[in-house]
Amino acid sequence: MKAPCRLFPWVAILLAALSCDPFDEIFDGWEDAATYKVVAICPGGRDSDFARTARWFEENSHDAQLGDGSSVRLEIQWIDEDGADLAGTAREIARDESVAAVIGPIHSDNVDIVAAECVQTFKPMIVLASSEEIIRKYSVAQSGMVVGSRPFLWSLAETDISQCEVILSKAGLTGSRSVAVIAADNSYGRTFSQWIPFLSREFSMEMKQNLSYSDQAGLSSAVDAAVASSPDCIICALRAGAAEDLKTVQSKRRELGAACRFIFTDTALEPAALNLGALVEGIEGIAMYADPSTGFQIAYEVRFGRQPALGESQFYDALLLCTLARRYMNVHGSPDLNEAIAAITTEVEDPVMCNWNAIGMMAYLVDMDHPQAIGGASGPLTFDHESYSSILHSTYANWMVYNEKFVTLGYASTDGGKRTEPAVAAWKWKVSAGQEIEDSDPGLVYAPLEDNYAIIIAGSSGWGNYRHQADALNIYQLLKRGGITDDRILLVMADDLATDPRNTLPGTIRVSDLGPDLREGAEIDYLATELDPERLGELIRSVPSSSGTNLLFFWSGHGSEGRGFNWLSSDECYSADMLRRDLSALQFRKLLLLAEPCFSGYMASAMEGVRGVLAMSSANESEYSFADNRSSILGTWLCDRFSNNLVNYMGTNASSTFRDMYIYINSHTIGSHVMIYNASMFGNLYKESPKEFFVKQ
Amino acid sequence: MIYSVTIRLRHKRGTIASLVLALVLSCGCINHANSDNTLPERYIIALYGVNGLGDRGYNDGICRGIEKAAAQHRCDTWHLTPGDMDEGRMLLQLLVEEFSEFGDRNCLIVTADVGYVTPESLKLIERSTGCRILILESRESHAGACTVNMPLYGASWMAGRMAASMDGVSKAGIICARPEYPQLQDAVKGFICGAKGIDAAMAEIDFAGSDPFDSADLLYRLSPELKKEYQMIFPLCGGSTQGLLSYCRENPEASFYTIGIDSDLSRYCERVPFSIIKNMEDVLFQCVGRWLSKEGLPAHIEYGMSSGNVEVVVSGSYKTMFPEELIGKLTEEAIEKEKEYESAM
Repeated sequence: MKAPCRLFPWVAILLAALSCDPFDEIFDGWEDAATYKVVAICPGGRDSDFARTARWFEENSHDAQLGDGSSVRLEIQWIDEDGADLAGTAREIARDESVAAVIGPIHSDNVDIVAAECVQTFKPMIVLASSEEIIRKYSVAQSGMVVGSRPFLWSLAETDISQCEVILSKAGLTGSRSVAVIAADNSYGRTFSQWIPFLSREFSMEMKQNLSYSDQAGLSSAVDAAVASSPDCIICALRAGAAEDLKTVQSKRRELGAACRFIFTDTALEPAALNLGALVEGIEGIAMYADPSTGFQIAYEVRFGRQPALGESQFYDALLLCTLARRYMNVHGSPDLNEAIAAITTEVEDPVMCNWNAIGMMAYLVDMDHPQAIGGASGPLTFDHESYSSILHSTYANWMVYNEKFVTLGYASTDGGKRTEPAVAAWKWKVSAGQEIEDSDPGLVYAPLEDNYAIIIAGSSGWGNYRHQADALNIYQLLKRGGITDDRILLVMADDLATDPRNTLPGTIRVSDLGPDLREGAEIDYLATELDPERLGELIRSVPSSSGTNLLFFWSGHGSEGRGFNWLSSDECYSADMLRRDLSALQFRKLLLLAEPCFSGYMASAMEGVRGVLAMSSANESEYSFADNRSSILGTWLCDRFSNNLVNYMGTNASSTFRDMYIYINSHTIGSHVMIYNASMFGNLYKESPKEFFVKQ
Repeated sequence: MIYSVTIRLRHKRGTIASLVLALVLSCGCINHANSDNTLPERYIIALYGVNGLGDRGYNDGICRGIEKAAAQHRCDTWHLTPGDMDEGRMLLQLLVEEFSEFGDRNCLIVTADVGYVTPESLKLIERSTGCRILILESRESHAGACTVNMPLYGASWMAGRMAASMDGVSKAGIICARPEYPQLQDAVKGFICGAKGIDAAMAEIDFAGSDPFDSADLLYRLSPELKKEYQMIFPLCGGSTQGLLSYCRENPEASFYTIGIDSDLSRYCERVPFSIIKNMEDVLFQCVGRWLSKEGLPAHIEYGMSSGNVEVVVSGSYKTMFPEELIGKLTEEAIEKEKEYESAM
């Protein structure tokens, strides 16, 4: 089928003038092929570099499929992602049944906009890269949207968490044992400031400083502070397109005579940096790149006389994936493109040959009955068979400025490919570093257990913080199922969710879309919005506990590093001093403190040294704590990973030991290290069971 | 590991067999008269060294030469990078078997590692009418194949002479990844012969089972020890050389010199005074051109120093130490030395 614009060129010109998304006409001379429409969303639309990549792909696809009688060709509709009303356009595309798949957009914020529409119809969406939060939102596994468990978002690059990992690998390889981070205070920098504290612990590195900046003065101060902390390595995630930031760092670095190593992220790899001349000589960094062992880059350079731009190899692979998946559907009678993509990209073995060029594609197609792993232009096209959303392999170049040029020193990837150094894991990295728990009895003798009491506090309010109140209710319902009655529970929360107009299931609160209503039957003792931290402290100190009471204290909400638990949307904090003051004022037999917020290790450690107290936090004192289960129906996160894991575990393993509970929660809480404090003043965690806090004895 | 390789190759056999059939069928149904719609009539399949493609040196040069030739002559290409020697041997055998009756020698198989060539594959190559085999780095002749020899003796001799003339260099260490390879043996002999006046000897490196051509990290870690012993390193170890360069780059004040191999490595480190360059890009471009020409590929091609495809290039900041005139003289002498050496073989 030929596009009308080919037959009547003047019509094409008119259409181009009227529409921002004309159909491309690169497909030619392929009369018998089945045609499928694909929408490509990128900056500049059809005027971008991607258009020529598409043309090249079309040539190869054409050569690979001629003569086999079941050819598939793609017809591309180009859309400029910087054009007006992307959300409206995305909504139409998502509902347009003639569109087989969407490729792009490029920028993470735009991916979020388009994904929010595509998820409604499960329109296949192949993106070249995406942020960690978006991947987490739309993953189909435990840590994401569980409705229907159908994948639709396919990211052809790992998130910047992988870049964090590669940077730390590189730093460790050359002997660094401590790091500091300077990151831009934006969505790009946030991945580095949130994940490097966690990953540094995985790499057994000491985290010296975690600094954010939003302007030149802030950056200058951050370099001062980072250098003063004397780390072996400083990681700089600067603002994109801001050569001034690089200038500031390098000037300051020279002024201070900093001896430590500096590693820059991919934003420093831009031509404008070279204009800084001798100031940037010798700087090094990491940036995403095409897998050098596929030969794509060399073939591209020969063909176009320049290096491929960022994302071009992934764009090529997006077209390859669409074509091969359509062919798979034809061969296997599969009705759904997402299913077909899943079927051909979850092969666990490495690809044995590259499939991106004509012969490679033909080699793949002739053996379609037994699909193997695909060797794409950017590397192996394999996805995690549990969560799908992000590819398992990305390649990074280790670059430096040497003699006023960018030089590639080597390659690294998260899977250790043929020409790359190995590293492991990605956005759903599960912790490997856990605390050593001693199997020893501190010899403490406790009075007989007479009673249970629980204090449950959700310290935030508002729809965007839905998860915190849901988590508090989840713990509350767990205790109720354990036989602990309302008169033995102090429940404090804002209770503003059930009636929120955005709640499409009015009156209910859940931690998963298909889960039970946790609000049902809940007796809320105090509305958080009617309290301040001091008044809250008074309430805690008035809890009727005795020396025979096992006391459980749970807090969900936000936290501030080195300050405490945030209180609602105010600047006030419930501080570590207040926590210690209020809990120490109570009589109890044993106290179990469970802290969910970011940096909660700081608060949990406040009770160190107090007899009978065991404190567990979702993160250490410098780590963030992450959300879980994104609801596309409610448009918000439904729970936090730590609390969800805690309730899931206790719901089925109530009689286990604290040690087993810790191992489970720690290994299933992604992105932070679950911490235990004060075990030596509590008991032997190999023998003590959390059951005595959750189930009435 | 052997198990997985076997499984992978079992799949590959079927894939390659089906591919050949598909190529034959598609060739038959295309109208070659219309240049815009023709399927290329010729195919080039490159079998690189173990994990070779992407090395920014020897193997990438081969790939670039093939792609340039393919673009000019409108051929389709396929790049295969074996994960180990066994896989490379079996892949070559499979390709030769399956393409043995493919058209009128419309397929060129390039093997970058002579180690893949086995007596069994040689027998198949001899009988093949469907493909032509280009075996790089071999001075032997095999019926049905074209061998290409790029001797390093002359260039290594010249490198030895230049190393011996440098101030502060009294001992040079040779790191040889595969001492059993004839081409590398030639290079070692040439260097030692040229480096008269200084102590030039093999540096014993325990690669501990890892690929000696791909052990940059190991050489990075060993560099402090090498520094104590040698002032100059002659690294015949492919991508592992990057480890030496990283160390020298980070410790410029008190490091050894490193001789660049295969490509100009001075872009990575100031401590590279000169490099021995094998111009694989041009060599492959020429070879593919000859394959497509009327006369076709000969049984053997020599691309030694006299051809200009192997040369010693002085790095920018060392040009006063090694002026052009001196390099010209040394090159002539090295060509003569290489001729003498080759004729004695």
